[in-house]
Amino acid sequence: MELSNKIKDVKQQFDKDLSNINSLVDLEKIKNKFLSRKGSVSLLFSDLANLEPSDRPDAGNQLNKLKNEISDAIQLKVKNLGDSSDILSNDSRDLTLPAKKNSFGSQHPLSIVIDTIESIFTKIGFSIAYGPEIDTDFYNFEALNIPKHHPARDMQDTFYLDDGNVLRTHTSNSQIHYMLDNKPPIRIIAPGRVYRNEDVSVRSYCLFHQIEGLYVDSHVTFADLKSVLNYFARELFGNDVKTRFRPSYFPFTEPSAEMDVYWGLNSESDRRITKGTGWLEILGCGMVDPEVFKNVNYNHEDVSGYAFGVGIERIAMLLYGIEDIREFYRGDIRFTGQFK
Amino acid sequence: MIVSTDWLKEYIDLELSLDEIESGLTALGLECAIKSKEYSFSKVVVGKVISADKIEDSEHLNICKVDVGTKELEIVCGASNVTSGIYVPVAVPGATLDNQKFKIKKTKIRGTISNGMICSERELGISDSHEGIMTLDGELVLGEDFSNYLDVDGNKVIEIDLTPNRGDCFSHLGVARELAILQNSKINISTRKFTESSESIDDKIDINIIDDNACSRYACRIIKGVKVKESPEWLKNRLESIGQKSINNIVDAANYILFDQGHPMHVFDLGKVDSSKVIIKKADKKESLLCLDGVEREVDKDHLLICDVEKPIAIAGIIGLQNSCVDNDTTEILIESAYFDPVTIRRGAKELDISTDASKRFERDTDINNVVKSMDMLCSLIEDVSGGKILSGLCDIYPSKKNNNRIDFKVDSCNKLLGTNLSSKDIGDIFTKLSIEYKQQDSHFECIIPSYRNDLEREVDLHEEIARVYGYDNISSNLDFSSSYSCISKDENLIIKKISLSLSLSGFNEHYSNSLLSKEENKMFTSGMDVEISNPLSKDMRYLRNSIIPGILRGLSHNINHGNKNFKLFEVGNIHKKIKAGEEFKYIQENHLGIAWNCSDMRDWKEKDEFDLYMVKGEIEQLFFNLGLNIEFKNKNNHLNIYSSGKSIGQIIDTGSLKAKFLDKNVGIYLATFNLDNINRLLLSKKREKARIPAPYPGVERDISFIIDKKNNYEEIVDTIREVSGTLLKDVSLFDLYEGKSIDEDQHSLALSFTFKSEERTLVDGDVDDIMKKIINTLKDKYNIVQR
Repeated sequence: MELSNKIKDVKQQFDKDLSNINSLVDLEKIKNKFLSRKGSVSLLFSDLANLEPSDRPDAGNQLNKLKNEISDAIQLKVKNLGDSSDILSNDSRDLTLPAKKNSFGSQHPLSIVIDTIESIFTKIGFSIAYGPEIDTDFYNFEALNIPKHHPARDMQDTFYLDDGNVLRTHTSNSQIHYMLDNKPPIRIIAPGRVYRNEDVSVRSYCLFHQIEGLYVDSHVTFADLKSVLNYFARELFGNDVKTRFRPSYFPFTEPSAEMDVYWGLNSESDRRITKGTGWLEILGCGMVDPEVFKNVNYNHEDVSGYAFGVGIERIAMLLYGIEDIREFYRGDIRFTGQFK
Repeated sequence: MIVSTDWLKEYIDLELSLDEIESGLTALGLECAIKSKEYSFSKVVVGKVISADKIEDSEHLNICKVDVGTKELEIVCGASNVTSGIYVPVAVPGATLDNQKFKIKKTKIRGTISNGMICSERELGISDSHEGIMTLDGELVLGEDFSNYLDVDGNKVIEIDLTPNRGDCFSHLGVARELAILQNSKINISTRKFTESSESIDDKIDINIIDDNACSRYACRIIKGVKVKESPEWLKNRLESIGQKSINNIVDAANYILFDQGHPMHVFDLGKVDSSKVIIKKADKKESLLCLDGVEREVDKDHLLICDVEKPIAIAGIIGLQNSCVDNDTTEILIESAYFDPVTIRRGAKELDISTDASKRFERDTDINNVVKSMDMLCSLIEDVSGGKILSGLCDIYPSKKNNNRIDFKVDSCNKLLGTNLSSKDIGDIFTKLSIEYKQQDSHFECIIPSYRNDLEREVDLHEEIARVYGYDNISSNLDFSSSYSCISKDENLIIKKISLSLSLSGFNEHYSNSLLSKEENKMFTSGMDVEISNPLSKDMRYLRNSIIPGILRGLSHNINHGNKNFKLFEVGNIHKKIKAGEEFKYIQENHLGIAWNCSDMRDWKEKDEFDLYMVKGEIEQLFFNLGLNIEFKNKNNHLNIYSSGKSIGQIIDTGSLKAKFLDKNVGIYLATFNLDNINRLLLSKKREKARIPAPYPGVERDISFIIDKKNNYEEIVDTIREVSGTLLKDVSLFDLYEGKSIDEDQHSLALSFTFKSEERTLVDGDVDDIMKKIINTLKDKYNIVQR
């Protein structure tokens, strides 16, 4: 057959095929049929080799024309199918049947808050350290300048083991472990679980979580402490957060402070949780007491430092408006599953 | 602690507003809140009587027009003193009186509609007066809440959350001193006076301090001819305003000075003190004592007692005994004012499990220089409220005088610690406000601390004083943030985050459980000795968990009991074991991961397969693939152990024994536990691997299907196949397992797919045919398989 006839045949076949196309998927098949490496048009090109050299340019032009016509027609069809917007219109499936059921997992709200706080501090160069949950009286109390029969022991009701060891009452024991194992400069946060011998109620649980912070270097100031905690408050509560620092008492810091954020007095619940003042205590902090440095064999003339402790449950309750601390430990997936 | 503003005014002229007091004291470290007084009424407003006209046919009822700001109300009132022009408290419809027992509604009285009620003081619960309605004066806003009217200029109560170091503020005097710092003013010194009688105290009482470590000062006075009776109104009101019940004039007087000066004293009935001799000593023996509050308490050798020659008469600094207490017949009293060692009192009170107003103050340390002054104030007050004659002179045993603390203070070190730039003058001014005397030489201060500030012992304590008086909020934040690289250490526990994220993304809900367990729960996994708490909250929370599983089971059963279906839980947490190491015991803390599957009821049109152990295995493989560890499962004692690089890292637990005990529903629950410390070690020791570039040669796949005895386990079959097939066999997968029709009961059919691949060339059929032949022959020989 003459090449020109073959070209005509291919063109006719293409026009016929194209007129039956209603979806992009089918169009893709047509495109393959005619334009792919082994498609009809390509096969015609390979026939060129059989022609007399003098006839080849003309035949080549005809073939190129055919190829362009076909690819233009396909382009146009793509547009038209796109415009009609329902590419799958020929599909007989019921697209409204539900998706396969998935189980949707979640991280616990306390994990989310711990992660958030960790990343706020690791961003500015704090490393993460850990302390044990069972500890000696020395690490949990004595080294932190809380001798036996100190009134501060009343601030923390303690679980004791029969050999006199304690379930740590705060993550502050991590300070002592870390300082005894490392030399300054030190800049750590230490998250973890702590225990208090307190009756379980809406506002208190026999265990909870804290994040301890500690920075020890040659010239750390109270102003440094304020700046880092103001940064923390901004990151956690937003840029327009208002903070205040007020004197408090912890045996292991001097001066000691508590940081409050202004929570507002817009609702009955605000009034209740802020005791009518609008201010809400967020954390305890202070400059590391020289006695503590003495207990870890640091020379307090050479170093200074600050420490702080944040209660995770408290922050989570504030951020998510949770009133009953026990919710965290029931594990009801309808509760824990809602936090992102 | 509660203080009242009226009482504070005895010491200081209050220039500050209530808000300023609240925020000012808080800024000084006395966190406080003004307590608004609670009234028994609600929705009572200030109104003005426009007109009052007698109702016909009634003897004393008036119909009044009352302006309550927003509107005019017609109210019927029977009080004789109602008249036009007066301001009155009006309970409008919707108001309540007598703690919500009485609701005010629109009512008809003698045919006339009354829109509320004009109230008397008694109706409002303010006083007993019911002689007519209450009339108000001063500048009044019509319609204003009546409680605001009552609160203006009235006594206010401040509740202070006192930190344990500030024993000096445990009184009105102490709080007034702090207010004086705020106002930069001075406090008024009390000028109570009394007359001493001609009779002298000499020979009337003999004091003997045996334990002078526990009691370094003991003073007393005697008053004769007192009359025990009800306290005068003002005294009762003062005490009531801070929530103290009135008892009798003598006890009230002692309480008054306690809350006023912060120095606890005790009053004995002198007639009940044998031989007029007082001995201060530790208890000789264990004995039971009947205390003032009617409770028997057992003291031991640690307790400091006040005794006469015969018997104990008080537990020093904590509580008096009934055998020497003031009663209605008392006429002669012995007033004790002493300084007791804080630790002795604290230990004693703690052991007796009692906390009294006296013990709380002694524990936080008292002012040894205030012993006699407080006692004299009490004598003067008793003279006022009960009469009697105060014997001249006093006993004051004070063997070694305590000097005021002296502290050297350098301005530079203070500024260096605080990050401030305070001048010597600034510092001096602050010391003056704090009544700290000093000698100054340039920037060096030698400070003498007032005796009531026992908490100030070191230079750093003064840094805090400077900071709090200067104002924490006035210390500017420093926005420079530099740090040494050497502070940065590696978080070796990042694995927890990866796991938690990986599991939560794969449909697991994270669980946090109470890590205090019951004995029964702790016995589920006995390994090592129990970590037992000696003072548990309850027997259900007596042990520190030795496995993560019991807590997960609690979570499981909570969810199941609340109708939650098809869920997967995981928890990451520390578990503890006590082990014997030589002669000693030691504790081991391990970080564990627990996982629970409860997917038995997964009804879905796209999920036809029942959830089973093999899906659990798949999810575990997925988790460890995400972490970058290859794992193997090995069957051991009904547990499926999980290994990586030959190390045991966890197991899937046989739930058979556990479920029955802890869960009501047994079906389809799977549990697994992992030791994250071991996993972490593996991850940390893992070297970074070089990337593998896949070979370009295509693989060849072959399937076989055969019937085999069930007793041969899959792992063993695959091992056999691998043994004979050499390195070209890259992958074996099981794509079908069939048992049932046409196959013996103890047999099943396995369908395996093999992938062969070479790193060097394209395989041809011949390469693979040989291997397949070998495989089939071996399987026939070893397992007697029948190919299908």
